[in-house]
Order: sequence, then C-alpha cells, then structure tokens
Amino acid sequence: MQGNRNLYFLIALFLLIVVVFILYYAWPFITGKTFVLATTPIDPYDPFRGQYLKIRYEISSLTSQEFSEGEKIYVSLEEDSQGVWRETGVSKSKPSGDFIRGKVSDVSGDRVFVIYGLEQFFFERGAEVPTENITVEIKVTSSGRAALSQLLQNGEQVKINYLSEESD
Amino acid sequence: MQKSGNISFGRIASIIGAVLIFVGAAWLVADNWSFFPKWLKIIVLLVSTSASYIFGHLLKQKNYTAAGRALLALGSLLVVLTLFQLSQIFNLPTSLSHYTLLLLISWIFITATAYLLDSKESLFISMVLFFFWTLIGYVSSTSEFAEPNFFFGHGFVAIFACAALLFYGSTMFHKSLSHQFENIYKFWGAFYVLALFYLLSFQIILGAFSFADFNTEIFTVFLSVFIAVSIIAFGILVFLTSRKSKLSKKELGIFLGILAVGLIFVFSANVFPPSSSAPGYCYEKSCYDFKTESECNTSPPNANCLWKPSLDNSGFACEFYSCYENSDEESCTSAPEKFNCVWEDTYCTQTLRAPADISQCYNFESEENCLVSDSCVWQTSSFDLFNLKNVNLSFKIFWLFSNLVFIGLILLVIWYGSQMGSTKIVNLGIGAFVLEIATRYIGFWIDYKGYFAFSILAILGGALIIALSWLVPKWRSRLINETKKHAR
Repeated sequence: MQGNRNLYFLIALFLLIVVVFILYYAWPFITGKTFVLATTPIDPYDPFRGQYLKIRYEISSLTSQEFSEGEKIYVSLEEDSQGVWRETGVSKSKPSGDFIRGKVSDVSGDRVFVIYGLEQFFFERGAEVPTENITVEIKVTSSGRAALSQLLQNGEQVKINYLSEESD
Repeated sequence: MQKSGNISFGRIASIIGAVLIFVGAAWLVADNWSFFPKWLKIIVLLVSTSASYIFGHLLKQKNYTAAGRALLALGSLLVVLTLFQLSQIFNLPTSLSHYTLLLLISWIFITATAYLLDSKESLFISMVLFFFWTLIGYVSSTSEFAEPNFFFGHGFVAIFACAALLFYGSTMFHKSLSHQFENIYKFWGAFYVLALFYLLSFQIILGAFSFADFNTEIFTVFLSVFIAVSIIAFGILVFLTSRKSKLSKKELGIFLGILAVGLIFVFSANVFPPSSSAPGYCYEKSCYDFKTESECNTSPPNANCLWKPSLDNSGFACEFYSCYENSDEESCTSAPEKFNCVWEDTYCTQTLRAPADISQCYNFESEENCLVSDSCVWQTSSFDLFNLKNVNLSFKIFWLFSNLVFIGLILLVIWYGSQMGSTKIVNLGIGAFVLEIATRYIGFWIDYKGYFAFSILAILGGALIIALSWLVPKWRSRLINETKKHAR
C-alpha cells in the first residue's frame, strides 16, 4: 500500500537524519585526539535547552593582527608540564603538529576572539556544578574540528550532583 | 475515538487504562531523565517518535481518525524535541544560527510528513516552525554586523509580505487540486497579512520606520534568498493554477493590492515624522557606553572599565572590572594600575577613592547641555518619543489611519472567511480584532499616565470588557453559523 510505503520512507528518513546528526557530531569522539584546555567558566541558563555552563577558554582570546571577523583560524597547541594544552601560534592554514580549528568572532586591535563550538556544556535541571579550577577535556579530529568530551576539576572528572538525588 | 457511532464501556475503560499506563510511563521517564545515559535518551526519543507515527498511521487506516491524527501530531512534535535533545547531548552551540538550522530541518521533515501521511496537524506544526524559523533566521543573519539598536522592522515586513505571497500562492494551487491542505495555507496566508498590518498599527514601529533609514544592509543572504525563493515560488504556483483555469484574477489583484498598501505605509512613514525633537534623559556613562578599546581604556577611573572578552562569549566589550576577580596575590598585584587593587591577606580588594559626582548628569534636561560633559551620555527615549502625548498632529492622523486600515482588513478577512466557509479564518479575524482593541487599550495606559487618565481608562476599559464579552460571542456565533451555511 502507498500509505504504508510512505510511512516506512518517513521512519527511514527520520532515522537517517538522526544517525547523520549523531555521526557528524560524534566523529571527534570516534577519531579525535584528546586535549585538555584551561577555562574561565560562567553559569547561565538557556531558555530553549535548560541549564548549561558557558565556557571561555584561555585560547578564546589570542594575539594576532592577521585575521578578520568570520575567518577560519588554526591554533597550534602544546602540552605543558601540568597536562594542559597551551597556544603556541596561530595560522590561516593547517599547521604541522597538534592544532584546533576555530572561527574568529571579533577583532579588537591586535587581539582576536575565537569560538570553537566548545563554549557550552549542558546538564539536566537542578544540577550543582563546580566552577572553580575547571579544565575541559576535548577531542579533536585531524581536520581540527573539536567536540567537548568532559569537564575536569583539578584534573579529575567533575561529579555533578542533582538536587533530586539529595532529596531522595 | 470510535469507529462507527456506538462506543462500549469496555472500549472506554481500555482507552482510560492505556492513557494511564502512558502517563505513568512518561512520568517515570521524566522523573529519571537526568540519570539516563546518553544512548538510552536517544533510544527513548527514537522509539517514541517512530511509535507515534506508526500507531498514528495504523489508527487512521482503521478509521480511528481522531486518535490517529493526534498521534501523528505528537510524532511531529517529538521530531522537534529529538533534534533539540540531540544538540543538548552533544553540547552544540546556543547560537541563533544553530537554532535556525534545527528549525529548518524540523520544518522540512514535518512538511514532508504532512504530505506523505496526510496529516493536517503536522502541516500546522510545520507552519508554526516556519514562522519561528524565518524570524530567528533573519535575526541570526544580521548578528555579524548589527549594532545593538539595529532596526529589524524592514526585514520583518519583507518576511511577512513574502510569507503571505508564498502561502496565498499555495492556497490557490491546492484549491485548484481540491486538496484538503488548501484551508491551512489560506489560514496562514491571512495570518501573515494580518501580522504585517498589526506591526504597522503600533505608533512606536511606524515612528521607527520614519526615523530608520532604509539601507541595503537589511538584505542579508538569508533575507535575500528568502525573498527570491518566495517570489519565484509564488510565480510558479500562480502559473500552475492558471493552467488549470482556476485562477481568480480579481481575488489575486485584491491580495496584491493589500500587500502594496502595507508597503506604501512603510515607505511613506518618513513623510510623517512623530516630532521634531527627540525627548530623552541624561545619565552617567557606564562601561557599555564605551564602544571601542581606546574609549574604554581612557574611561574615568571611577567607572572601573576594562576592555576584555564579553560575558556572552561573543567577542570583546568594555565591561566592569572588579578586583575581587583576582583569586591570588600575583594576579591581584599585576592588575592594571588604574583599578588600585590591593591584596588583603586572603582576597583582592580596591582602595577607596573619592566618590564621583554622578548626580550632575541627571540634572541636564537637554541633549546639548548633557553632551558638554564627557562622562554623561544622552539616551533618546523611544517611549517618550512616540508617546501619543508628544507626537505631532500629522503623525497622529497617519497612525490613526493605519489602525483604520488594519480594522478594515480584519473585517475583510472575516468576510472572506465567511464567504469561503472557513470558520478558522473567521476566528482568526475575530482574534485579531480583540488583539487590536487590547493592544490599543494597553498603549493608552502607557501613553496617558496620571490619576485622571487612570480613572478614565479604567472606566472605559471596564465598559469595553462588558460590551465585548456580550457582543463578541454573539457576533462570533452568528458569523460561524453563516460560515457553516456557506460551507454547505
């Protein structure tokens, strides 16, 4: 029957959209290399999607005069003695070694503000999240696309307490 | 819910039982959602969405039409929920451009569902998504260059006019095919025309049109593509309808004429400026009033401003600096000198300065006097500027005329709905009429302050509510009856 064929087609299309969505955004977790970045977290609330942590990275604000707003930027990274990856240089094309790709969202004099798509971390409602001494573990693909893996506090995975957990 | 006409006690009991099980299961899932691993959340959403579509379709096939339609609508809503939940699971950006993408995918998929599964409710949901997609998409497309006071009016007018064109064209085309979706497109076509004129019924928006220069900056890529696609689609739909010899040229002419009137209002607004001088107030500059790095760095020390990454993570901004931000002695002592930060055993604080005389700005009543002082800024007050008490006579007449046109249009929409036998369009027109009365009434409250105006407006408002509560239901029921007669 035509009606049933339409239904199968729709369900298949829906599953395809979801699988493509998941694969695209999960690709850094499957193929990426792990980095840890230093952060400055703040704690806002999104009306559409609930509670989340807005994260600014040490590498969000960089010094360079070569870039204009909207441009792609490649940031070279090197690990320090504490296991945190720091910026060692910026370029317009893929550098050799370890790097992450971002987009310049603002330019002010010789400083550029860069977004990487890693600036938010979501929780369920009623979460109690620490915001001090936070670093972030990320995964970066060979093209430089990054995904946020987990929050770390003093190098350990952050334990999130939910208010309902306490009341039970 | 029944197949033919009789419904047995057993069937009612089984439906209540099924609903109870569903509510109980949904409650359990909702209560424990935060403890579900990500993969389980995804599976719950996929299974519930697919199940809604499958059971909705099966129930419709077995002539349980109402339950089937409700489940198909639920499936469509769950598609939106799934996409938003996935973007939460993957910590994707909270930017408007990301929401635009999610709404676009949802809109396209749910529109396809509406046609493939013959679901009017899904089409209605897709129309709601389309409304938000256009507005959010346009605002997001301006974000790279828009200043905080960027005027979106021209862009919104273009979106409403083009969406009205698109859905009027779809109405004609579906009518020529005798397709059941004709009425939904008709409703949304009327909605966008009413929305356009409702926008123009506000004196603050008409006034803003008269001040805002029309410039090509409003034509972002999003808006330009949207306008082009809408006009081309409208042309194709009119052509296809005319090939079936079912095009009412008179109706088409009236529709295009109405849109032209709306555009004439927009472009003639600058002929009627609301007033010659802009009322406002003078206040001391805060950090956000220093727009560039050099302005920020040379701001008065008492303002405590520092050029740094903004709180919303969108770039740099001049923001308030507090010595308390420094959690260790090293960062405290290396803070810029102008902030006078000192380390006090365990925390960083600021040494006291002589307080600035911040009261002086508030004493200046004119923009000229205000701007003499470097530390003061003049803020034009839109509410004062466009307040009916302050605007000149020609602008008042222009605004009154736009409201009369809006009321005329509402009556035309109600008449059209009753002639076409569409109770939904009649209800839309009546809703717009009540909205117009309520909006103007609230507007008078805002414009005319004081005890006398308060008492007069309260008495008038009370009388209006009594009259409307008596007249509107009667008017509505008479119109609906007439409309149903036409529909037969």
